[in-house]
Amino acid sequence: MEKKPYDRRLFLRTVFIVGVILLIIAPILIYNLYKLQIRDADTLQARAIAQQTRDMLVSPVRGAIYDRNMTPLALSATVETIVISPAEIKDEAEAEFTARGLSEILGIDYATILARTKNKDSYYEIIARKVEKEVSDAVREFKTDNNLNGIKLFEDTKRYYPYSNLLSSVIGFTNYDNVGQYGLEMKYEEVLKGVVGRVITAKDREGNAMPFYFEQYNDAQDGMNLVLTIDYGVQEILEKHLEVALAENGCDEGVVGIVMNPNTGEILAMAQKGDYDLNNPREITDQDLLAEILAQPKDEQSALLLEAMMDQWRNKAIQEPYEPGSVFKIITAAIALEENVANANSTYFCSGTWKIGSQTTGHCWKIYGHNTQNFAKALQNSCNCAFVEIALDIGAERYYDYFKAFGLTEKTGIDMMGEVGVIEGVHYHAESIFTNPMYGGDVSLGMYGFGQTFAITPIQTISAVSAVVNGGYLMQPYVVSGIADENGNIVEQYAPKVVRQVISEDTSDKMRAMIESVVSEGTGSNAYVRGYRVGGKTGTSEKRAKSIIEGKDFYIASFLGVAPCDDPQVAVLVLLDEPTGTLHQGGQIAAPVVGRIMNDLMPYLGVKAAYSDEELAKLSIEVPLTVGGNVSWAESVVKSAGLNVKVVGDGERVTAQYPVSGSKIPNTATVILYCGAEPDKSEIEIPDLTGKTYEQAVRLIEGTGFYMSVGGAVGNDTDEELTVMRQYPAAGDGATARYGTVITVEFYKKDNTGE
Amino acid sequence: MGMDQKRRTSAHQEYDRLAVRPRSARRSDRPEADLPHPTVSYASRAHERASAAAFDGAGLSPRAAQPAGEARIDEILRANPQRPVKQKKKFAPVDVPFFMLVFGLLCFGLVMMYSASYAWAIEDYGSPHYYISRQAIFAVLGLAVMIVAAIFDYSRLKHWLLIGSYFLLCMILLVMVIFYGRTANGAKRWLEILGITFQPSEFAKFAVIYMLAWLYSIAGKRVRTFKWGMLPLLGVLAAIVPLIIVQKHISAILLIGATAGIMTFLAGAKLWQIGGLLGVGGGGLVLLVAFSEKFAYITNRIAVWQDPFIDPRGLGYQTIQSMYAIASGGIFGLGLGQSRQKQLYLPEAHNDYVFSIVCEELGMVGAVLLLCLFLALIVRGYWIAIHATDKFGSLLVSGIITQIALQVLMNIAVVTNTMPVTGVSLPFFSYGGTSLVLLLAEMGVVLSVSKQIRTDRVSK
Repeated sequence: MEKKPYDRRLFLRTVFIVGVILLIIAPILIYNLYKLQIRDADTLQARAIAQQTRDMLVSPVRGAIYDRNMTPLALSATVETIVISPAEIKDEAEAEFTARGLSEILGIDYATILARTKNKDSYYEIIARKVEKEVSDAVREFKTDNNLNGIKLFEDTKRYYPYSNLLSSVIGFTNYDNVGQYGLEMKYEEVLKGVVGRVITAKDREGNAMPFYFEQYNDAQDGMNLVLTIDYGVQEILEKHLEVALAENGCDEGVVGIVMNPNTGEILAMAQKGDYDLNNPREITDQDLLAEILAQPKDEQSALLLEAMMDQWRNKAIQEPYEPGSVFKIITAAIALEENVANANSTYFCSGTWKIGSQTTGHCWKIYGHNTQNFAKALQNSCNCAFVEIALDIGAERYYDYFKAFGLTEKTGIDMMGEVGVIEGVHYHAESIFTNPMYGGDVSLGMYGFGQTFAITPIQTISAVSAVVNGGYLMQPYVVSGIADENGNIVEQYAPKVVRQVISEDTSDKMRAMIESVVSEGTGSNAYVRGYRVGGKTGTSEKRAKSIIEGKDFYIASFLGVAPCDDPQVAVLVLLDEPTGTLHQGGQIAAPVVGRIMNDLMPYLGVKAAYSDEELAKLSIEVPLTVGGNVSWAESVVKSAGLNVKVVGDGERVTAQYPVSGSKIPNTATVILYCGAEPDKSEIEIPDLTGKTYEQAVRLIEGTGFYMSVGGAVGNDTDEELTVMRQYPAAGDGATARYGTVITVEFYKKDNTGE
Repeated sequence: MGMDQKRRTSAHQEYDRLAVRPRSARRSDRPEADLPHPTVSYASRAHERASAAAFDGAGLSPRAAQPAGEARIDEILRANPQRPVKQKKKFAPVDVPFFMLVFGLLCFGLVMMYSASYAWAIEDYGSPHYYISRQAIFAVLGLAVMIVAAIFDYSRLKHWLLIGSYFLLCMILLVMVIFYGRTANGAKRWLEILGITFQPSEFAKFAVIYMLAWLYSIAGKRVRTFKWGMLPLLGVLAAIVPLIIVQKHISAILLIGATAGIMTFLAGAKLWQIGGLLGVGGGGLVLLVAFSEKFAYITNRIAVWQDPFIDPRGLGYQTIQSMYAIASGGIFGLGLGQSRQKQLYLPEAHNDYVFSIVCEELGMVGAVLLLCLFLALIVRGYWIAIHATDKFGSLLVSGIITQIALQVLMNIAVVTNTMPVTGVSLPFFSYGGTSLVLLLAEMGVVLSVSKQIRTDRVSK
């Protein structure tokens, strides 16, 4: 039995070892497995997945902005972001090679890129953003050719505004991250931006896709497209003429124009000059201002630059209240007609001054007075005295009610960024003060009657006047007509919105006739357009506060035109803010701008011209193309067009013609057809036509070898007062032009100072 | 033939008749268990066995104190010049459960190693099959070696010349590492001979087991003396360990030291002596770590072990990646082949960290199952050890099983961050051709030892 203890010992000791393994070590290990695989699994799994996956954001394509005819005004194009992933760069040599290559392709400093490769913990170091396709393709080629895992390319989009400055005050712009910062881009951010997509892909440590399927896609949803009420063509016409007006009148505070469909409230065009390039919104466009800022001490520059930027971004049409001046007489007149305190037969006497009670308070713009005039004539004359009387006849309470009804105390609610609402007590009188004689209420009432002592925004002016001419309905102006999907299908359409009816249809009809007579017979004659029934009203308002502070007169010349007056299609408001030229009256400088706009706008909108006899006599006719044609055919073509014809040479075919086809010349002019003969190419001195009436000009130009293309208010009943105010090319200093050149002239009423 | 059958039957019937004692007692009653003679072997050396019986009979052996019945059995068995089973069958049946476990783990290991090495094989050599194809060839080779070793009578290994020369060879190889070693992963531990790269320390582990098994089987009961119990251990460790310390191979030192210590323990040495030695050895290790600059990295490893996230891209990287892999598996795993962490995130995924990939792909269920398989192998291995018919075989098996158990437990402990990182491979799973062949050879030895037990059982 001696052996037993030994054997037993082996057995027991083995059992001990096995016991330790099974009862102590194995449970510890299993517990640790439990800890890792169950207890802490979520946290660790999340970390594991975070390192195994590359979560990429896929930027959606921002929606485009189209005009009403789907002309793209703002587009997003695909660009790429170049990123390096230092953690995936193998060694120093590769880092240097990568940096060298990228530096060459992107034109970025080599040392800068190399420094970024040092951040070994990072998977995402942005090297260049918004890289155009062709450059990024070069980067991609460099990456694949050299098998560089450390370079990544991510798609992004970049906003393009194909027409640069066009509609800049309305569209606004986006920042680097494609987030709308201003204008419609900001207002409709939610519509345009789309939904960011995510691609989660499993990657091995080297950044290669894992060989098994482990991907999750959340597709990016592209933004919706905005379709505007803006008409690109109308906008172009408006901007073209505003630019000319700015150049001619040197308006310090710029020019503003709005074209609206008065029946619906749709904004067809809205612009201001100077404006800015939407593609470079942070570039100060006013070079003088920029130079001035850069002359300042460095530390003040950035604040000044920011201020200048904010200034150029501001959309004055909806953000800057101004005194509407005489344009507002339309409103006063409409109230008077509606309230029956005036009719076509009412007469008003103007002595040149107007009184409240017994006290002379102010005077008419025509210091000798307008004498006795009927209601329509008072508007044509823009007689302040008459409108003080009319306003007083209406009475403060009624007047104030209409003032509110025309929406002049509230925001129009236009669907744009940052419309400024006028403030009671600041921009206009509180009702309690306005209606209380104790506070000089009658004076206020009288001044309101001709549009002074209160301020409204241009959009309020045009909306109120539109209500006057459209049958009496105050429409809510709007610029977005609908939202379209990626295929251009309208998914949401915004309907015109009637805020309220302010005056009756009947009053509206009468008002249209009256404002038409302002252009055809009154102070608005410079807005006259042959063949079209343009109505409108001039306005000149003094910037009183600024004038007092600076000791110098500052004006806003404005004109609000409506056409055609029998069935208004457009209302056009043009504001010239602080003109610096010799002329500053609305009738002198703003009305011609509206006239020119209407002249282009009416044919563009397809409004048929209808000429009066007067106009027919002075009609301009487009010269047909005859070159290359048979002589007799050419003669008949020119004659049937309504022009005289003269043939030079004896060839069978027309080899040249004066003037060139497409020119519009008076129907009394003679077209010269050269048939084999050499056309006269001599340089002759340009005659000075300025100051001449139509007849004088026609007579003067005849036989000089020049032709005359006629523009401006020609054809107006009060023709004799029209003289050539603009001529191109201009005469003087022995300036010459080739025989047969068409000289463009515009006729306006010179002494049209009416306010 | 009929005669042999008859003989065998009668001999064992007598054994059965006489052996009416409790199982446990019977089990430890192996005929040769205490035989001090070094050259005893049943199957082929009948003359020796006869002399051994005479030796017993002369009362010089403790066997003399055996009860008469048992002594009789021994005498019957030994007097029988030809073992009946050996005569009847060419191959005695090996321990089937153990063999099944080895085979199962080998297959399981190959599949998981293939999966774990897939991405790294592409990364390192451009072919996903690079590692598995080599491992498979070595597995087949290893199986062949295992079968040969299983057939081979392990007791023939018990020869001082064989043991001495193997031990010496290992020492020479370890010395060669110092001069001709190849460096990989920052450590100079590999030798390349005839195009085969291997770690001599792997062979040294077996050398220690082999030597100690021999020495303690000679020692017999004297193992409880310091001279026979402690000196063999100290001598063997003194011969091998310094050569490994030179390699800075802390895990090998731990493995060898622990294996040797446990063998001493199982051999029956006095506990206080073992305890004292353990104290001295452990203290020495601590001093080594604390004062040797070569092992200064250990302190960092311990800090990182406590919180791997203090150095997530450096020392903690591997542990963190392993933890990610294990956690990613959850309860049921991502599915075979679906590991994400093996996509180059987890370094050595096919080497020391295959278990992490097992956890990730097969979940906690698979991981625990694998652990159970290993535990079953270990338990069955020790079962074979305590049932071995001689002390040499018993200690040989104990040593081998102890080494495997330590490797398995340490590997799993490392990958689960239960202990600081140390390079221990997972038997059957980690990539490495020579060590797989060596492992299977050792399994063959275990199976060879197990044949004796089977013989007894079958003979019932």
